[in-house]
Amino acid sequence: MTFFEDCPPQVLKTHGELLLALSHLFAQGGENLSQTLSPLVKSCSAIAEHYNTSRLLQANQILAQYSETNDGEYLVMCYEFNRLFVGPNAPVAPPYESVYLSSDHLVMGEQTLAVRKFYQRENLQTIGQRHEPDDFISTELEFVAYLLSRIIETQAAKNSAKIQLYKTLYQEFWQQHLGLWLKTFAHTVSQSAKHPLFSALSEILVALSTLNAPLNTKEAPYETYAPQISRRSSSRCCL
Amino acid sequence: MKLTRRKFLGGAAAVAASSMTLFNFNLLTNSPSASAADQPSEAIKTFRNVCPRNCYDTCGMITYVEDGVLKKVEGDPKHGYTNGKLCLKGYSYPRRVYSPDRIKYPMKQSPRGSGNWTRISWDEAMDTIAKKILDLKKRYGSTLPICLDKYSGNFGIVHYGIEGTMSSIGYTTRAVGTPCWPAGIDAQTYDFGTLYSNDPEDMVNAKYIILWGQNAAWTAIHSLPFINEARERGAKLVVIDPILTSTASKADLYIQINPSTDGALALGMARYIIDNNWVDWEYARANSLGFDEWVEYVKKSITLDWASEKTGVPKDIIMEIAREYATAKPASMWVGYGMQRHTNGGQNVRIIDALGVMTGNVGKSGGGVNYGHLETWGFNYNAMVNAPPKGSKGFIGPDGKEGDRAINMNNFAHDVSAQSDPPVKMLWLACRNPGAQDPDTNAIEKMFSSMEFVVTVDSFFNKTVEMSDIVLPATTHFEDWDVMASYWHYWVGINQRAIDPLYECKSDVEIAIELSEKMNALEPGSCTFPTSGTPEEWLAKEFNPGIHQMLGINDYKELIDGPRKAKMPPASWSDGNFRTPSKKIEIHSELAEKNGLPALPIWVDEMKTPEKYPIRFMTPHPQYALHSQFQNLDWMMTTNPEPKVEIHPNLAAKYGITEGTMVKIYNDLGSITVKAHLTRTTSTNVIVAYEAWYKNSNFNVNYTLKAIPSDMGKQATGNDGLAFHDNFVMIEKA
Ligand code: SF4
Repeated sequence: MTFFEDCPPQVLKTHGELLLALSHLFAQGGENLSQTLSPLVKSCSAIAEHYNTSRLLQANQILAQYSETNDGEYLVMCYEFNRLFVGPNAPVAPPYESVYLSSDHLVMGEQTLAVRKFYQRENLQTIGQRHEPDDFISTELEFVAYLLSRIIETQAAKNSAKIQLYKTLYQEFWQQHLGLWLKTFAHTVSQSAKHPLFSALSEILVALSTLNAPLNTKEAPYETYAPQISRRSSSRCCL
Repeated sequence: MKLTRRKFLGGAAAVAASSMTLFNFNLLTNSPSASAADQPSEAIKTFRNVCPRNCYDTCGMITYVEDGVLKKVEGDPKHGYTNGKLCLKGYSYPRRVYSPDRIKYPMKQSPRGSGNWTRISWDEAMDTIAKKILDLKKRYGSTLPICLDKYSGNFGIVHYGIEGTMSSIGYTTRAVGTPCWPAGIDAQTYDFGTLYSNDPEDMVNAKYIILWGQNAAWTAIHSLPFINEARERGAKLVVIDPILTSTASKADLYIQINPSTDGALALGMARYIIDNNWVDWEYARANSLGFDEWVEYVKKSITLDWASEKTGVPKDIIMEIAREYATAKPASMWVGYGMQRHTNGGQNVRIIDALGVMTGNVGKSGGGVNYGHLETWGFNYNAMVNAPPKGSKGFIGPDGKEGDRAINMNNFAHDVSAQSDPPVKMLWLACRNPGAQDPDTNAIEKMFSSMEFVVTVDSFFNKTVEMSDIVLPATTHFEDWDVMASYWHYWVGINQRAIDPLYECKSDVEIAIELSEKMNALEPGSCTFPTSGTPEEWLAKEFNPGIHQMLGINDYKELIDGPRKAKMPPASWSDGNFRTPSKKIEIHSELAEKNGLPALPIWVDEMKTPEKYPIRFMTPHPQYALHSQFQNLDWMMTTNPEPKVEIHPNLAAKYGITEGTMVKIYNDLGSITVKAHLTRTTSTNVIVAYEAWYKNSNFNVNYTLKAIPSDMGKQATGNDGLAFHDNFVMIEKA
């Protein structure tokens, strides 16, 4: 059974908000953490309370603490964000699916095109098509948030055919994409984060992944990227 | 063109997707075609590209693109020299384009060198840069405090728009010269009027080939099939090099020569040729000036014993190659760039030139003293040529003319720091990584830290980016229109935009356009760079009737069907029209003499080994990289994960160094520490490490390298070269 089977719409909505908050955080970058952290904290609290997961709560407390920090600290976090995800140095944890899952570990890999096709099933495409890889973490998160919103909508309309369609899409996307790399990505972050905010963020990504874990039929492959991640460290990531 | 995230996140970007929904999209939008998912993938499209690196081969490429994604690159079979193949570096290109390590957005570092980077918009980047330029102009009354250092990161013709960017803001300070090959260029300029080598494909006609300081197996791999064909037809291959290179290992005869003594070997050969009367008197006397004078010098001053002693080459070997080279007819020599990176490097090339002349091998198919050429480079350089804004104040040169202020590219750190009227305050770096490639890295670091502002345009985070205030993301050549010529073969190819620029990368011309718009908005008339034109239109403006005629085309678009070979005879100088003042080969060069050099190709002593630093540290070109490009890519890092220094076992034993020992290499300028690899491919007083920039590594061979000029270069390139291989050090176990 998946997490949304018996979920009240309100919880689904909160879940969607968490996805979107994460999407925004990665899309708007280190320079806008002062705007993107608070919504993340809010949605995270709601999820953590609902599922009563102490690790998520703890991680969220760290997030909350830094969401109200001073400008100097925001700058430090921004630098760390760019070191981890953007550059101009070789980023430690590039936020693109194919970097983790393709045998080449490059951007614009087969996963990128598969994700593009997935979006097309809903007549969607990325705004930065052909410039930004379609499997950018924010875009994937936005897409699943969208699918979740469709589930809520169709549930409200009691359109069972559509409900099933969107549940299947959500499930498939999670199984074939986000669910396969989010934990590896989160581990890469936690292994190299030099600021507590990003260790906490990594915890939240792991929690999100775990919440959706029943959707995953395949074991997430490990060590697909970042040779610094040892196989041993993989066991400590469950909520 | 991607909307910036701020733009689409800032607005209330509520986009209705497939049907009714109130979902607020930020990154996704409606797909134009209904049921797009059911559509098959686009057919694979092919494009023509040219590898624009500073490489002999300048390969024609076919690029395969599917759904807007570059899938693979291959050599262009229509390119007669590349012949459908690339080198290891060329095949790795998709990994360069799609490396997650690429610089993706304009970024700002505060303070410089701190590693504290923030992402900024192009608008903010241009605003910051434009304001800095205008501020410096106001403070100093000119744009001379702004210094450009651009060289060979991309040799595409449209990339001369970088120089155009600077011209369009006023007179600036320019790093002038070339670190690569200037001494040899001047040598050939004194002798023949310019550098002009035979078509390398013509090497098949040689009966004897000497590769003199040339490691083609690593640096010009596409020449080998032509050399091999000549060998199949019976030619002998001789390689002369201080290092037993991959190329040398393939030769019929390998000669390990003492570095910097190539001229002595050539003079020894000349003496033996004269003694045996194998001289082509008729050719030499008819085509050159001062030949008999030089023969007298050789007879009087040169002995085989001396040449053997000087070069470390046994006398019988000198005699053997002298006889074979003089009598093979035709015999080809290829003079590599390494051998002229000495304080007597240009003079050594002049002596080798004379050897070619005395045997009548100049102007012959299958012959030549081949060094390089620029015959196919007659483009318009349209992007480069912009008038300075009205009222611009320039530097008054020695000729009384106002213009840019030239400083020496080969002593960049020193020359930038030495400027005082006005001082240099801002650097613009493009196609160039002085942090890794310039001599005396400590001086470079110091000079950079004294700047007010540093802008670097690049694709990867290297040492120079590390020392910059703003970095701008550069497109790769697959994301750009351009045209490329070679300084070796005779082909010219078009470079199509095969894929859209990734992220927010821009070409140098696009950057110039943005800067011009910003500067003129802030201060009308402050920048003359045109602000219109598509990348393809900019390319089109580089062609002229001369180029059309040379390539046998009427329109640049014909190059999309395939690269073209210039209509030139296979043998350079076969018409005997030399471009010296006398129109003959000038064995006696008054121009050289006027420039303070010997008039004749006589022996000039090599640099003396300092007592304190008795080991020569040679840092030639690497196999897996081209200067600081390529080695950082994953394939290369897997194949060649760390730098090593090659040491002869006897030398290593002297210092207690064994295989894998970390070795400190030092002199009074600086030091590096690197792992030892014991090998007999080098001699007992020469250690070797290959220059390259490794990912996430501070390895840099130039910490011990003094900016000692080579003997020539000023005449044709503006500044003398750099004696890269006269780098003397001491070693110890680290
Ligand atoms: S680096 Fe040289 S040999 Fe290799 S692909 Fe480029 S031009 Fe060709």
